Amino acid sequence: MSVRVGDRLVITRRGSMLGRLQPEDLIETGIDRDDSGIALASSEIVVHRAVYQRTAAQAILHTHPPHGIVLSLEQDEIIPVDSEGSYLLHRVPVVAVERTVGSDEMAEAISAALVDYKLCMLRGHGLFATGHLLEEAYQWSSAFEASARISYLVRAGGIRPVEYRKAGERYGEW
Amino acid sequence: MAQGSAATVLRCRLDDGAVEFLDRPVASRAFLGGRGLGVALLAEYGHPDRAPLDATQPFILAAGPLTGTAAPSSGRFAAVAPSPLTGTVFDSNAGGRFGVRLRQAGLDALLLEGRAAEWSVVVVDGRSTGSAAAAGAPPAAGREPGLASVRVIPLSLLWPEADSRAADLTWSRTVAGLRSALGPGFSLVLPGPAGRRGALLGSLRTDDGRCLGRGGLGAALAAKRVFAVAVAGDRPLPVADPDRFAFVVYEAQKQVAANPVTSRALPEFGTAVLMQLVHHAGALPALNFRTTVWPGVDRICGEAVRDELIAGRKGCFGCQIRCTPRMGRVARGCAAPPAAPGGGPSPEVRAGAEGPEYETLWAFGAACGIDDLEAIQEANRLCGEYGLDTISAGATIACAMELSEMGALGRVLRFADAERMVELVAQMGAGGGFGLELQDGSARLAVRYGHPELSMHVKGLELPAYDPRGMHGQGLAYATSNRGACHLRGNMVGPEILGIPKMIDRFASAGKSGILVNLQHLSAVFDSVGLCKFAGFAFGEEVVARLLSACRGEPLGAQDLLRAGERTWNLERLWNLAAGFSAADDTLPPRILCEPHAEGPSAGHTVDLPAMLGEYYRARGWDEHGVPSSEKVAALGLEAEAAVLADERLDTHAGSAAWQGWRPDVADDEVRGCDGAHSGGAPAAAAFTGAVDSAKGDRHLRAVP
Repeated sequence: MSVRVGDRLVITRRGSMLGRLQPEDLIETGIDRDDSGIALASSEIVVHRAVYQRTAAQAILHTHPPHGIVLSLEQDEIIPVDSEGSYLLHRVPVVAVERTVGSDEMAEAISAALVDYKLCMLRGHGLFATGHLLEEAYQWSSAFEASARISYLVRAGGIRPVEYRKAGERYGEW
Repeated sequence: MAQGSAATVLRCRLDDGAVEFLDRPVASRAFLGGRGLGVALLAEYGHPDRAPLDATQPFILAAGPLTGTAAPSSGRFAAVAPSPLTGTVFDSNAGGRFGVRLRQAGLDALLLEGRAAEWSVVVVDGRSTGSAAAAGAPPAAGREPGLASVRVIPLSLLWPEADSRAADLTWSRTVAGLRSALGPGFSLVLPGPAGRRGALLGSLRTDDGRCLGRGGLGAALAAKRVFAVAVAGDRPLPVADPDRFAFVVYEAQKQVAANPVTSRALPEFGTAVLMQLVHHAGALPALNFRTTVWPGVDRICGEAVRDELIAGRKGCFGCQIRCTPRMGRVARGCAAPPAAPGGGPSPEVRAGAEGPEYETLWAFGAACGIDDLEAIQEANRLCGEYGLDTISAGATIACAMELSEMGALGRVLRFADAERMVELVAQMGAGGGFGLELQDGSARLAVRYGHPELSMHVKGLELPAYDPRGMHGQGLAYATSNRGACHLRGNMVGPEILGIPKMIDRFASAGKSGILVNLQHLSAVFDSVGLCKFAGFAFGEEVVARLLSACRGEPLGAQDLLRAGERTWNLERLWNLAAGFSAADDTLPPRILCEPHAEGPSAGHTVDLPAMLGEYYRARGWDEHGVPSSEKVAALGLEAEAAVLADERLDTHAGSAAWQGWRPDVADDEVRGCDGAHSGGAPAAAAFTGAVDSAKGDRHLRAVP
């Protein structure tokens, strides 16, 4: 997780337990320049920095949603079939890179996708969500995983959903 | 405007009626339209080192690229000019049909320069069947194939029945007369008697009752001897990709319908719904910001307005929210209404039945200690008829009430005196009695009577209906707004009261600069593309980008829009810096900084503004003095504009500057604290004394002799 504070960011410590964060687990460092904090920061900092440099995001949340990851292994875009997911998300792009942890390639692909979307899945790895607030990014992430679980259950159950949304077939154009 | 390309700007010189059509491709892409385009034109044609009412200053009316389309709540347009009240760059925004007609006339903006020889009506006719100029009017100028014609017609020719007292005619009388003189098909925007007289609280209003209230833009337009601007047009407004546009519009409408603020609260109560919410939060300022605990709230809140006044709803062009309440009871001062030509309620009745908004309920209500809904409705009607900003008018009366209570005013004027309040509004509007002192706002009034600290203003603009001690982020928004204390430039009501996008701690000072900066940019985007900010409660930049992209046929992302908003914001800042403003003006009244409330939910709180400002400047990429860095200017592509403004920068140290603006008498770079130990050493109260030399100040107050 990270938040932007002016020209700097505060990011969780590499290896910290996100459910039990302590003050010393919050590492402040530059968005454009390294300082000594880089030695302690999350290994995904390169992605966070790229997103802050290319967007107006004030917060970034990176999670490993199980159902979202499963869908990303097959699909190039994840389009919700449930109502809440449709309203909030419309379409979540999936990007794929060779090096999926802390690489410049990953930073470029994800930041490019987040210019136009508030969420982006990295195939096989996890979700990056942005927001004006960390809580907002969390809301998108939570809604995404709930929606992804529903999509997975539909497929796993062999259900052929009836299209109930006007223009639902166009969400791939969002 | 050709889809996706240049904005069409008509530049008109009022002295001789000369016109010039400008294509503004760069401005259109970089600033979108509306407010952004207006600010860009002001930076090019305006003069920050001259008085706002100087004849060489432009006055701009601009619509957005989405104005008049099927996009939700898309009827907005902007008026942009230097403000005679604040001295800052200023834009005001309204809905209704005027902006739509401007685009239907084939224009994105109208730029007026100079001054007409006598009261005149600027008539822009973009109809395919030709203009409907009155007999005897001078021949149309600027008539090129496919483009609108424009005439600057003396009022004496267009409307001979308007005699020498035309400047005193109320809004409803003026609208009725001009509609008759012009014939059907025209939309109007006009100052009222207050603005025509040069009152600095003079506002603008459209013929369908929408107000461009703040900043004295009524006086600015009237200073050019413009009695009204009339626009007619019948061109279609196609979009580049109608199929995709319709899809995105549908999705946006779903968002609006799903959001309880836009689908239930605003339609049912109007903006009055905020009264109880803000009071409950300890942020409703009463008695000139002396308290936020006020028992009268129950009599003027949204429920009271709904139960006692509202008979229905109406909305601006293309708006599904329809937040304007239609009152079932006309204001008590409304004269027996004749019917309008062609049937329907007369303009007087329409004016008398317009509902007071939240800000108006506060300004004539809680601010003045008044809980008389009938009196507030009448004050609202008077402001509409005379062309006065309700927020500043009520706040100025509240300031006067406290001055009187202290024995400083030399006359008796008490809080809670509803009849006296209505009487003063009438005087402010008509230009009589004590109203002549009130009509120029609380900052000048308070200085005149020796207590500048009793004016609740930032950069000369009165604070609206949110007490920053109950909403610290809103305090930062007021202090950093480019047009003075404004709740619409990055409205922290969303996160601090309504929980949009999420509820944040109202009393926290740290960590708010980021979301405020984004909200400031987003407000600039909405103002520039022609959408109402209330739709922004339901959808954000992601949806707006898709709407605009489909409308223009250009790939535009959310970040492109926010970048354009940031560009507009920084250009406004550069103008203000050139006009002599500095970080010292990014402040709040001493009462907000130094006097915590003794009771209520916000008891004990003041705003730690110096710390918030430091974080805010860093968030913006400005230096510690609040000046955009050269890197920031370059990143936004504003080098050329910055160079022009630097050339015209007001030399505040030369001693011969014609315009001093409105700012406290402190050196640059001071930031006021509460302990008297400012970085510059001057105590807070003293910083507000002697700020305006009345001789110097008055030089800019009146352009109409």
